[in-house]
Amino acid sequence: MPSLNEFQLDALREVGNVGAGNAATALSQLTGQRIDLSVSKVCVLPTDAIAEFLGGSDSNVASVCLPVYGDVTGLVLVFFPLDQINELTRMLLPNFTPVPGPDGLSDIEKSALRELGSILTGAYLSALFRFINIQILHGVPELVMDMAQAILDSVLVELEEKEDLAIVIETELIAQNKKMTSKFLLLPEAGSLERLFKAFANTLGLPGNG
Amino acid sequence: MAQRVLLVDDASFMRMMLKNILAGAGYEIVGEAENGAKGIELYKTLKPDLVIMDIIMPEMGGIDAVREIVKANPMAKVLMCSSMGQQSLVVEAIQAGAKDFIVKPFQPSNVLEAVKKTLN
Repeated sequence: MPSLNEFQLDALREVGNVGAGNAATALSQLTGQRIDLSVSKVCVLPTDAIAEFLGGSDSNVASVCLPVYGDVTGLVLVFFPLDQINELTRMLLPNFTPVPGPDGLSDIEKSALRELGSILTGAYLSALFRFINIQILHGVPELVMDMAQAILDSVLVELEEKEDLAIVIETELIAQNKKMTSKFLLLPEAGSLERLFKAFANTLGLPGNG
Repeated sequence: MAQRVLLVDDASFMRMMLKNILAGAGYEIVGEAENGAKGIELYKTLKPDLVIMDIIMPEMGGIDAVREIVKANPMAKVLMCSSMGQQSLVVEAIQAGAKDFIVKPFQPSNVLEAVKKTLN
């Protein structure tokens, strides 16, 4: 099973930091208020440990799911705890009084959450491109609200030949003294993870050479 | 008379933001579409002065739509919206006939500057 050494994980953390910086600028521009983002965790997780990382199989989450293609193919999932969704939509739509639909969110709030997932994904993928010259583009975002395991089960079957590992970046968003969490997961298809790890190795060389 | 703009983006949130920025600066939003195919259709019926077009959309994306619009009217003015990390797609869109691009999320001043430049 391919993996990253400590040195390469350090580089991935840096990718996370640069991506979070890009995303903070983007979200602050979008909302017209200061939004800070900091990376609290970066790791490579076996796919069967993801649900636990999301707070347990039956934890309620919202997820923005985006297909990715280019040098790496697979899926990106951006998770938000369901109990923070209202804070997030208020952050994105400060002057808007939404008319909620049957699932508690209005169309415009769902659209805003999809864009938030898309912005975070674009920020991390462009940071990855800057660091290791890997070009990954993303497709149309979809929003799903369900229990963590149910979402994972439904998206994992979409990947034809998935790797058993996911790259994970956990980010804290702070807006108006409120702290929110997002968890970014890149689930690569077979072969993609190796390409990704090889690109890290090529860019960074051996530990100590970087 | 206000210049007429057609917005093509699958995200209603982004269309709302663009609408607020443009309407506040005196532009008239004559139509909205959520994919490239509907964008082409509306372009042909509404004949707007400017189209603001997202790149990644379901059914038909922005690059194919620009190609079709420019085929129908070589003088068409289309401004692309790209997200971070989509530089290669922006190049493709410009080759397909788009005049310029703006990067999401939008800063009102950048949008208005790009719109003005494209229209002139």
